Amino acid sequence: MPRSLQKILLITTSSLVLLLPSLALAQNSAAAKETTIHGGVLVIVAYIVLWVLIFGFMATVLRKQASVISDLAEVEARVDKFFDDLPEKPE
Amino acid sequence: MIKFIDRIFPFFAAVTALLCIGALYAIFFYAGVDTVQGISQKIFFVHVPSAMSCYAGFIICSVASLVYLLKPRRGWDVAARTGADLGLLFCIYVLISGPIWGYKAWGKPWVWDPQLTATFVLFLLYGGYVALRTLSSDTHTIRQIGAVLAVFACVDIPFIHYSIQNWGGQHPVVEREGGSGLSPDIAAAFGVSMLAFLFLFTTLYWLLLRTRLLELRVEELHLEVEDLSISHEFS
Repeated sequence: MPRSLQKILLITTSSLVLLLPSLALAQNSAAAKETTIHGGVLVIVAYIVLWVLIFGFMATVLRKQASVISDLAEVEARVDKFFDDLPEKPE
Repeated sequence: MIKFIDRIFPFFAAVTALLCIGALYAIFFYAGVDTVQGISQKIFFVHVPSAMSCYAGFIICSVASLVYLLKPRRGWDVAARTGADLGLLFCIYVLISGPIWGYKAWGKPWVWDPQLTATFVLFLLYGGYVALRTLSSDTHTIRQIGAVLAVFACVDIPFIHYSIQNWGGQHPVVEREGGSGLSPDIAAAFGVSMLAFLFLFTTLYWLLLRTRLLELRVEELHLEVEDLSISHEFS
């Protein structure tokens, strides 16, 4: 994933997570059931969990990607070593 | 085809990010607060699209598994695993956001409603598939067992979808299936949210699929280099 895209995604998602609670609490609440927890708090929790799951998933994929890239470098090094070790053919 | 998708992927991801922002704006600033349920109804805008994304992931998994059983190529298996992982992620969210919403709407977080129970069964079935594929070695037999499990697990999806019509329960009935319907502002915000989730699902799916395909290719390269070294030693 390009670094610029990583930056865009990071900034967007961080803003979403940080700004969301204020948006939820800014609206009036008319609860359907009398419960001890305010509806706005439940909305905040639900939305934060969503972003945490998505970010967690993306972090896992990016870590996997980094490991694949290091594996690829290892294969490349082995191929280079193989060709370096080949005896040169007399002309 | 893959190269073309790779080329447009950064733009697609940027559109996804914009759609997510647009959906949040529509949910919190455009759609009004529900007079009956209050602010907690806002969970609906992410709960239902997550359920649809969960179905999409599991259907991709089952279809790709079926193709793998007929034509055992590793690419189909990778597509199936990716669908299951993503489907499970959204299924977990459905099982978290549902009880949070239910706590306010019904007064209790969990009821053994047919749709809830069937969704929980779906989570167990595909959770089993993901556990099998994660914990077992990646052999052809394991891939086949996983594929059969994924094909059978898919049967649960229509049960979930039509459970309210057939067996009732606490879940509201969808408008197109005889429910009361949504107000225009809520319907519009819901539409934007569905679109955002569709893009989000596609972005995450492609991200993981490409990584897994690359992983597979590197694994093949390792074996090829190994073979080359051995054949050179004996020649």
